[in-house]
Amino acid sequence: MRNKIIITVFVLVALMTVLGTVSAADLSGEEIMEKVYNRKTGDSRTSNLEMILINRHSAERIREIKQFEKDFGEVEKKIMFFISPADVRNTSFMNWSYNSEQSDDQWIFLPALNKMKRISSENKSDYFMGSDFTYDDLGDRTLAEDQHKLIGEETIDGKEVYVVENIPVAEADLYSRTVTYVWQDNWIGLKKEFYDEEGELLKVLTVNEIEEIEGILTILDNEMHNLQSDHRTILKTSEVEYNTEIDENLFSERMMKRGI
Amino acid sequence: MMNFLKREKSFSLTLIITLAAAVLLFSSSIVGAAYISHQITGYSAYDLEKSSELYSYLEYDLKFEQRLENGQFVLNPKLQINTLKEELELDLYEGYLDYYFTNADLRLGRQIISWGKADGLTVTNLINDQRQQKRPFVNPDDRFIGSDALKLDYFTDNGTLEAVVSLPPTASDLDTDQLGFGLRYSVLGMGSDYEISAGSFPQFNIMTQSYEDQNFIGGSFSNDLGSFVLKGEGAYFFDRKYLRKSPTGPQIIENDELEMLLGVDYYLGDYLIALQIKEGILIDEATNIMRDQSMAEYSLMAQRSFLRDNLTVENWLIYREMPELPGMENTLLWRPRLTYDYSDQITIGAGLDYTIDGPEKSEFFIQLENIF
Repeated sequence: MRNKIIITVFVLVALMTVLGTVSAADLSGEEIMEKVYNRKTGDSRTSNLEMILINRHSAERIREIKQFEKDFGEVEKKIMFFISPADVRNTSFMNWSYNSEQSDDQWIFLPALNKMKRISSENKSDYFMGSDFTYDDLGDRTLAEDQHKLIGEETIDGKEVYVVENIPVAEADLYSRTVTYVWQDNWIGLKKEFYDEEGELLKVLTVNEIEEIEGILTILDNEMHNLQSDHRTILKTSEVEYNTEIDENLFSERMMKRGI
Repeated sequence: MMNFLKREKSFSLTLIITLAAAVLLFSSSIVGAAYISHQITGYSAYDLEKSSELYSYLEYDLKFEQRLENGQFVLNPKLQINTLKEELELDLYEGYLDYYFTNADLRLGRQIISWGKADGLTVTNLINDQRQQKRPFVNPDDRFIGSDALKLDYFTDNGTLEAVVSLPPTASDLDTDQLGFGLRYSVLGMGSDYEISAGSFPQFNIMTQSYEDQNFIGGSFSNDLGSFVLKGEGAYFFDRKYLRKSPTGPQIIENDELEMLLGVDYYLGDYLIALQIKEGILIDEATNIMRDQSMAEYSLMAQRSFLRDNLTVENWLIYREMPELPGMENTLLWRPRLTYDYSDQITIGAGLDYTIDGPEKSEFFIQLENIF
């Protein structure tokens, strides 16, 4: 009887392993990217961002930002406080992103004028603070904005990755297509290629450092390289905290004006 | 010899000392190190027709910020050397103390306060005085002068109620007890923002050439319409002063006026196009009043950024109808502006105030800024 139980368990485990392998191999590009978009990222997050902009002559410019994000269910709110350089210090930016058809709301606070200004949220293809990242690249894009197709599997630094081609649904998109290299074990993109409207390779995003913080895989260092202008942006993230008690009042006119 | 502190503003110094003393009282609650930045700006403007230099100055701008446990202290003095007139001028642009309560923030001292959604044109933005000098500004909003004021913001679940009490502008000859005061309620919401305001603040009246209280009730809004942001402002002014022709010479009369502004910001790739239309309508048309019953002001701005936002080019076209007074005519101005961030520390600016039609002279300026 005992042997029967052991054999049954053994067979079930073997069957589950085989089924698991088959189901992973059968995943479509859409399903892979769905797992990437739905990867656990916490309900709230605070972090410090450092953007190092490097031009073709290796001249550097550094931007420092303190960022707070929280998912309230119907709406996801984000507030950024610009710390440096001196000419943008105390400027703040707030975005409310809705889970419905409603367009995002965006405001900028201009400290020299002590003025809140509503700005259009349509220009997601704008480059963020002169960097190589657009607002889309920084995470404002959604799964439904592209058609996803699995085009292969590769290895990056010993890690098995799915290679997924993403083609924008909208005709008027900044990119003709992107290619995402998804780490099979963790559903996190390790590399992404961006192709311009003519189909030429425009930018490559490379992840340099990942760390598990509070059970969540977090990219701490990545680099976007624009191959056509030979301009690079290194984005470093530090002091990351997840699921902290962030008061809803932080995402308000009061805090934008007060700063941190 | 350079006139040392030609326009030393004694009130500024008194304010600095008062605020510094207040900070000392709060010094036990200092949080972290102070933030200090310096800016040196060189500015020269030239008369295009006479090819002569009109204004030239070198300015040192100090910004000091100290966070406190429940507030902050900010000091922003400016020292300006007028290199043409050889004058030295010390002024306090901003200097205030903030105290944060649970549901309210109090700001005391010299400060810039902006009301309304319009850019460059003013309807309800009446608290700060505006520079009367004609030199071309890098940004049209640079003309505002900080007010010595007490501002209290009370925060509700939906919006902010703001109360302001301000001293008269230092350039005016009003008594210090002729306070300006006003209330504003503002809301940021899904898809649209609005504010309602009312008050009485002294502003310079170009007809009477003096500072007078502007008593008003008004409001403004801005709406997100995809690539467009629609904005509007309106205010009803009570008992404004105007000049009327009479056999014995110009005579001051009072009248009510309604001012309305409608604007749209259109975002198209790297371009921003902003159009604003403002109309001021006299409610009771008095005979022989030295202006039209309806007076308009239009601004059209096209802005584009290049080189990763390091180079910004703006083109302003401004049309302003004026009262029928000596030296005043309707004016059409072309104001191109160029700003280039050579590095995070050095910014170069240049621009032109070109009078297409009107009595004002055309001027060109260049500016160099170093922030460290």
